[in-house]
Amino acid sequence: MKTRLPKILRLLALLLLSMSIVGQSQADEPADLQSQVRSLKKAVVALNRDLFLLEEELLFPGHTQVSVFLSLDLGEFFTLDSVQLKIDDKALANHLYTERELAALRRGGVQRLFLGNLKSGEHELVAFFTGLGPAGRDYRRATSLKFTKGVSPKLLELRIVDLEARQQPEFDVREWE
Amino acid sequence: MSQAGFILRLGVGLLGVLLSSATLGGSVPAGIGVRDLHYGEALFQLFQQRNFTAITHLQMAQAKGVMTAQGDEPELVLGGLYLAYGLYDEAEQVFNRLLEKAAKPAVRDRAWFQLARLHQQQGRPKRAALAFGRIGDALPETLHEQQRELAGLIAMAQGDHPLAIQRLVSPDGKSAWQGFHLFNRALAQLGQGSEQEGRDLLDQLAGLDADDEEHRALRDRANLLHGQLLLEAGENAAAQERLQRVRQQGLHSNQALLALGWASFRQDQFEEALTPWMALRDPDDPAVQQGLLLAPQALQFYQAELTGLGLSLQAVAKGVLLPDLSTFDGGGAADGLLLASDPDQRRHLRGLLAKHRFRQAYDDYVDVGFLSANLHRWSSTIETYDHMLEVRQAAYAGQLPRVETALSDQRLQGLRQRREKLLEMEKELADNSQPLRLANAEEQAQLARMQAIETKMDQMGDAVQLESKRQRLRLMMGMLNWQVETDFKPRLWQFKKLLRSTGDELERSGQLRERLKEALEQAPGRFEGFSGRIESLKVRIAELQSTVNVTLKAQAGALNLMASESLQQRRQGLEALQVRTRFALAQLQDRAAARSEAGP
Repeated sequence: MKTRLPKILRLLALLLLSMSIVGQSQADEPADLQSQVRSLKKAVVALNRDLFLLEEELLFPGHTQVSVFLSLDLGEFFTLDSVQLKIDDKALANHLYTERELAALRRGGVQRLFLGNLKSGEHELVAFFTGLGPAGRDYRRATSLKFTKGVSPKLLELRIVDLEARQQPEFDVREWE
Repeated sequence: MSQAGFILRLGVGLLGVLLSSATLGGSVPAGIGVRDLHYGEALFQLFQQRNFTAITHLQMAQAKGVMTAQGDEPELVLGGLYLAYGLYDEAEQVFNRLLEKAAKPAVRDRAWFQLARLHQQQGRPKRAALAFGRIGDALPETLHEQQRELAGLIAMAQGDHPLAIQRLVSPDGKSAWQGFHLFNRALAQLGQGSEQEGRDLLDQLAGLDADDEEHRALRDRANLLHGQLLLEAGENAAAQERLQRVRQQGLHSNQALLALGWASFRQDQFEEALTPWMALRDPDDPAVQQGLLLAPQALQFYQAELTGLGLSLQAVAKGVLLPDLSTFDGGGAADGLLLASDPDQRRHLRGLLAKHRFRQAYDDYVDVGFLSANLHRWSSTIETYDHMLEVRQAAYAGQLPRVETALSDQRLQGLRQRREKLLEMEKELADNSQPLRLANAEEQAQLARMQAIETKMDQMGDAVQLESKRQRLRLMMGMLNWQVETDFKPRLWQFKKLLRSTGDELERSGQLRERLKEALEQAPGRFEGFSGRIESLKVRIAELQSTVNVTLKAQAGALNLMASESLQQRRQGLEALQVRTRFALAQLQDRAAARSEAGP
């Protein structure tokens, strides 16, 4: 039996070797359907823009609008896990970061953490950052800023910056004009 | 299959890998620096492959005119996003617009680069070559390797293999693109008939470090191609060595196992050939089906596979093979949408998705599903905004009398007039020193009491016994005057300071009053504006929802047709294999019977 197996295989192989098995589908997505999808995408993108603009103007008018962004510079001395944002001692945003979001931040992306309304006058922002600091230790830091909300939209940026000289991360808040 | 066809097949496969590697995020040069939060926000979405959201953010920022610090960068990124989202005409318009407005050389070069990519992706190598030729020397260094790769691909697409070989060389050999350059250079060498040079390059690539899955898959692909080339050349032992390097858990494991079996078979190592063939997985892969021809359980496998295919064809006919996107909520990846509960149907759909044309149509189907979900969300949200606007209008009407009363209040004017008088007093005080006018209330009361006592004493005559009291009174009045005069300057400064702050307060109250007046005047127009916009957007949503539904059905129909044709062909192929296997087995049985009849 042991000597016959190769012969059987050889015969089978000779009989079947040249066969092609699976054909390629010849059907394609119709060109007019492709162009219809493209035109639809274009129209929905434009509609989406107009709807978001309406939403922002309606829900967050300029004289009360406050946006808080978060950016990361390098991020070698600090791996961000989460951030909590408080304005006037009221928690307004909590965010847990995914690997994908951290990668996007490290590449220069800026996250809008909060968009809301505040009345004109003096306010205080406090942000708490938790994560892993130098040498993989648990790290929790806070930063704060007293700011004045005027009649135009207020843009604030929470920044996490690597301090090369101290081999430590630094947290601050920047007001944008 | 001829060598040219074989190489072409692999080359086309690789082209897809390379274009997907040159991701849009990668075309945004690092180190440009984010000087605008809105632009940074769009990048945050882009780097997470949320192209639709990134486009929306950039378009919104452009419409609001708030993105001024980044120059032409947002426009370039938007063009790239259009390209990635399949809006080719819009992408081309953006790049042409940038070129027409005579942007800076670095921007122009990136626009030409993107145009070349666009034409290359669209299968227009001549136009790609023209655009590529316009790239100057201002392209950011981070894009140089992608530029080199694109140059090679364009030359290969034009059939100019020597030029592709010349272009696909990294100067330092350390780039992350080195592996891709080597593979494509190997293809170009093979394409022009220089097989040994091509094989040497594949060996060089196989020896490179591979730190990520993309590069490990590329190394597998190089070893597979090399093994297959050696197999075709009859160098079976050498082929075996290369094929054994392909990872078993990789994308190319089935093809490698099949070829490995053949390499052993051709060296008369029949039992060794069975080992890789029996290890073949994924019965949907043509390589596995071919390999199983030679395995003992082939007939059972074909029968089971034919039954599964029949069920999938029934699912296609009923329109249930594809996920139903009419209720899609917009979340999850395309592969997460394989809703069919039957594992064979899921497997067959995955098999179809492996084909470029089906995948493209399926991606369009999912994109339209996403648009449908997006419109569905907006259609319910906009109703809320409509209601919100009505509530605000009612609140405005309720507050109107109060606001009008506040605006007609003349108290602010009275306060301003009082301040004017105080300003005059300040001037008089500064010009003619009158310290007593700045005496505080207590001092003035004391002074008044002393003056009253003095008057009384005067009425009492010149009695000698009052003299000491008069002296004491004069002393006290002198002390009080001295104290007020000594404090005059600080008191005058304090008075001016108070006047200034009162002025600031009055100014703020005036501004508030003006804003209130302005808001009051503008409110009806704003309500009307919002109401008009909401109504017009509602109409657009409804129109697009209807178009989306029609397109979704048409797209599902086209996909079902493609799926049906493909599955039918697969069934026919399997049926033919089944017949041939039965025929071959019958022949073997006949021969065995004839041999036993003939005797030992």
